[in-house]
Parts: sequence; structure tokens; C-alpha cells
Amino acid sequence: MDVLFQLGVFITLLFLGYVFGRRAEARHYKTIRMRERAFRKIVVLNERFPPPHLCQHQSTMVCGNVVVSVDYFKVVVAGLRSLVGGRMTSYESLLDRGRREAILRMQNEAKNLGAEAVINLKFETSQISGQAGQGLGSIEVLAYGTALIPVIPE
Amino acid sequence: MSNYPSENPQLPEDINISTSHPLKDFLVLLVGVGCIVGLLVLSISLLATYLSPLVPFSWEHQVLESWQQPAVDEPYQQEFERLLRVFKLVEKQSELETDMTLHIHHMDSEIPNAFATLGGHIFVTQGLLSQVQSDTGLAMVIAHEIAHVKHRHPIQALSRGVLIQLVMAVILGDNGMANSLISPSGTMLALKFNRDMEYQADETAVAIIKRSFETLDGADEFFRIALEEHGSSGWSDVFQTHPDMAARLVRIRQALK
Repeated sequence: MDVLFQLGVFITLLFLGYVFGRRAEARHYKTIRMRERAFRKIVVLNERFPPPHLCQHQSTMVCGNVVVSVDYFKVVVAGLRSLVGGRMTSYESLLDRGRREAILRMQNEAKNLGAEAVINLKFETSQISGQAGQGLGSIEVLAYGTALIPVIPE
Repeated sequence: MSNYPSENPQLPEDINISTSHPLKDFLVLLVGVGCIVGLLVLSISLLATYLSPLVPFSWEHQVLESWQQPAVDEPYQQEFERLLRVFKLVEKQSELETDMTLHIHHMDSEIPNAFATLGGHIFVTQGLLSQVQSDTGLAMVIAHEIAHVKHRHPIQALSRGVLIQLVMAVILGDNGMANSLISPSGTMLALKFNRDMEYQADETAVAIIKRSFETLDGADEFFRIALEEHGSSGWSDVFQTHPDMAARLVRIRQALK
């Protein structure tokens, strides 16, 4: 009886994780693709120095930060995968979403400042684990860079 | 600058993420890991069945050495004496290995049950003593438990249970569970014998009874009452630890003829 109850809870969590996690991911990817197209003109480079024709631009730091939670289904799939090894596809999409969303938020900030480009792009990432590493974790991705803003001649 | 990009590139989607359906990945993993765990459990069960009887019986004593029969309450004294008398009668005919020693215990519980555990300790509850009136019927129950000890069922069940739980704890990464397994509290008394063990114990018990008594009338008393009382309170416990009571009664009756 006890075992059945635990199994029921497990399957319910798995089902909820799958349904809501997958829906959230599909929606997120849709907006990511849409905004990436919209921000294509704000060029993001990992060059440390500005290209010569932008050397006269003002520079300032811009950053974008995002925290994405993992869902129960992804945790279970990853747990099974960690027993046998191989591509952790369930976490790959999570991190991909995090990185792209962080860049988009950074680009958004750059756009609000009137920047033409962002150089020296860098990432920081960290993991937020719930309940002292026992529960579901989240990932944080921070993207930051130097925005180049054209100086308006007086 | 001619080589300076005018806009960000549009990268293909399937570089960083897999395009295969997550459920497919999950099912493949589930079936694969399930098969491996199943094979592991099966081989552990077989190992426990064939190797644990090789563990010297004296080792079992060390685990449950300190178990002392508490003083039996005054109203039950007579029942306890009857239990001891029948037990001694059956023990004589049980043809145990020389290093095996048995200990009978009276349990102050109204739930009719009897069980055998490590170290040759056999427990019979007050509930069973008051239900089973005939000595032959009581002897059959005791002989059944002695047969479990004789065939080394407690250590087989324990080895299998602990090993399987240990494997599960390792797979699920639950260290707290693995630690609690090692402590001898609780779990040792609730050893689960499987169907084959019960049949084997019944068979041996009938043989012991045939050697101990001239008439076999009432040897199936406990099983008969258990089946009749099935569903009434207190008896459900017996059916949880001893399934297939009906099938066993048929077999016992055949063997008694």
C-alpha cells in the first residue's frame, strides 16, 4: 500500500513535470526565436577590442541574467541517464534556453541604451540547488558585455 | 570594415539541443535500466538462496544473541507451559543439524501469528495459543516455523532483502537508507518468506508431525481457522506474512493423508 502510494506520487510528479515542463519549453523557444530575429541588428561579438569604425563610440557594460528551473521529468531522465552515461539531452535544452535568454536580455538592455553592438561577451553560470542539493535545482546564466553606443555630435 | 558583420547569424537549431522526442529518450532509458536492475535483483535472489545457507548458523546467533524471553504474565503462564511442552515434543523430532539451537518465545499479542527469525528464535503469540486448541494444531504451526529455521529461510530472506535494498539505495543515491539497513532494528523480525519457502516449510512440518504424533487429527487447525476468519480484524496480518493460505491448506491436507 505504501509502495503504491509512493509510486502514485512519483508518476503524478513525472506527468506534471512532463506536461508543464514541455509546454513551458515550447513557449520559451518560440519567444526566443522571435526576439532573436528582432535583435539581429544588435551585433554581439566576443572580440575584446571594438572594431575600428566603432572606436569613437561610448562604452558601457550591459548584462542579462536569467534563472530557469528544471522540471521533475528532466531530473528523472537525467538521473536515469547518469547511470549509463551519454548525452544529457534533457539538460542540454535547459542550458541552451538559459544562454540564449541571457543574451537576449543583455541585447534588450543594449537596445534601450541605443547601442549598435555589444563586444567582449562573457558568460557566468551557477546552479541553485533547492533543499541542500536534494530537491530540484535551477540554473542561473548571466551574460555580460560592453555595449558600444554612438556619440551624438553636439 | 568589410568583414564586420552587419547582423547576428541565425544558427541552426539542432546544434546545441537534441531534436529527438524526450519521451523516447525516457522510455529507452527506463526499459534499459529496468532490465539491468531486474537482472541484478534476480541474480541477487539466486545468490542469496544458494549461498546464504553456507553461512554458519552460529553467526546468526551473534546477531540476535541478546534476545531474552520476558517474564510471561500470570494469566498466560498455563498457555506458555503448553507452548513449551508442545515445542519440546516437536523439537525432538525435527532432526536439526547439531549446531542448530532453537529458542521459543511467547509474545503478548492478541494477533494470532507465529514467526521464525535469525538464530533459531521462534515467536508464537498469545492470540494464536488461544485460537488453536489442539496440541496437534499447535505442533503443526511450531513445526512449520522450525522447518523455516531448518532450511535456513530467515538468513536467505534477510540476505536477499538487505542486498536488494542496498542495490536500490546505491542506484537511487539514498545514503540514509543504506545506513539504516545495517542496523538490526525492526526489519529482522519482519522477514518475508516467499511462496516456495512456505511450501517447503509445510512439507517438512508435516513430516515432523508424522514422527511426533500417532494421530494427525487437527493438524490443520490453524490454517482452517485462518481461512474461516479471513477478513476479520487481527487475522489480516497473518495473510500479509503468509499468503496463499487456501492453496497451502489443500497441500497440507494431501500430505497429511
